[in-house]
Amino acid sequence: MTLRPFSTITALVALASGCSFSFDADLPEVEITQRGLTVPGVPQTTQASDVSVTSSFTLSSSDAAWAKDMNSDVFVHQVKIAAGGSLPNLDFIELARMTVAAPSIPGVATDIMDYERGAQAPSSSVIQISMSAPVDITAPWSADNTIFEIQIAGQLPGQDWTVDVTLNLSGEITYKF
Amino acid sequence: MAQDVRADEEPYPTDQTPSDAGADDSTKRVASDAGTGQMPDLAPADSHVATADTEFTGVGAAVVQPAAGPNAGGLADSTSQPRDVEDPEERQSQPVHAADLPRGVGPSEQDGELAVVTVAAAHPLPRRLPILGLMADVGVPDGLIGSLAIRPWNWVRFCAGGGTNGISSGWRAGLTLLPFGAGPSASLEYGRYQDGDVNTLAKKLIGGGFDGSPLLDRVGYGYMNAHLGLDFGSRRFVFFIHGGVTMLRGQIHNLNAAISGAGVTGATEVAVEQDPTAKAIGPSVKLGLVFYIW
Repeated sequence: MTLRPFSTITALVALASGCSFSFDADLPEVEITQRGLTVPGVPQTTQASDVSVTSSFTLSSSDAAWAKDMNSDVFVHQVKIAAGGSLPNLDFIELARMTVAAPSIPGVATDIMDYERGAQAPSSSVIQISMSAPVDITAPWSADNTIFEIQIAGQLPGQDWTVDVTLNLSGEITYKF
Repeated sequence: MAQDVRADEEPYPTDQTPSDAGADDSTKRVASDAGTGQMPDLAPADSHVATADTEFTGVGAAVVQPAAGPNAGGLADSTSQPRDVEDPEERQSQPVHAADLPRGVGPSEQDGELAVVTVAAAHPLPRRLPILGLMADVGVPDGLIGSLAIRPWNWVRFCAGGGTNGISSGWRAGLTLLPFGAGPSASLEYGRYQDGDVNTLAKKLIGGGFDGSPLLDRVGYGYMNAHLGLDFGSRRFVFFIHGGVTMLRGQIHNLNAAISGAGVTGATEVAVEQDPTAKAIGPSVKLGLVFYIW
């Protein structure tokens, strides 16, 4: 028998307090990682200069489990893009941009991060961007489906390649009865 | 028998205090009623007094003594305990000055046979309430708690003790205010339970289909009660029923273990890097008994 974690906690607290009417849990640090996000390759013949490609992934209430139960004050603190597969590094990425949106909230996309590689940046297989101020994504996160879109520009590989994208979040789970 | 009572005679000049009145051995007085603390007038030496068959009724507290005693010539000692005149003969031989007799009950000038003095009984000293007691109560989320109770005044009770919630041991301390000594009460309490394994209890409550959860391996919490209630009894035994609101706070452990196989599908991974803090606010109630032993 499998229990949903916060349902269990809520039931436990309800049991403990007779009939709970308010429950909330602060989650100060939650990491959500989308592994193997495929980015389409760009044929070398077409790359006269930097090109841009876009890839996206969706977190739904079913595949992100209880993390989608965070229903208030959901903030992004850090985004990490790690090279997947056989890529030795991500030095070819000159620009990167990530937004979050929800199909149920059309026309509204929240910018999460903008990255620009410096001229003297060391070679690395990980791009890590910490926000100067946490980005509030409560509204799109609370939707059933939350779409993260990542746009990458640079001298991109000719073959499809993959990255792992990690979002470092904080949030609060609140139930009221 | 002498019945010469001259109530209208001025006992001493109005600008003269009783102690100035020059009382000598012949001065007679009625001491104050210890219960009321009223001071009697002091008769001058040459005043006429009622003597002999003056009768006292009531349940005591009238003090009659010759002026040659330790208080002679001065004010009555209002702090002294009333001394009952136990010997009927002694009682009858004590003179009473007319001015000392309460109005309306003393000998009148018309009949003048018996002086009847009705004196209120001294109130018994209030017995001290026991201060130290043992308290036991059961409730949610308090569990079963045994405490030491201290009642320095009848309107306040402090308690501190330990107990169990069926999972682990804990402690609690609190304060109860009883503005009327009994009846309505208001309490504030804080307690804490150590981490304990809830799986055994959950299996009993839910049944055999439940195979445990890592989330329940370590459950502990702190809580604060704000209760209103009723306390019955006041001296040795007090029974109470309290109810109100409880704020409960605790950390959730082993969340990563709990979610590792639950609901996360495909290429999405969720990891909790820091234990979440859970808070709950809900109704609570408890019943208890205090037995004061000292």
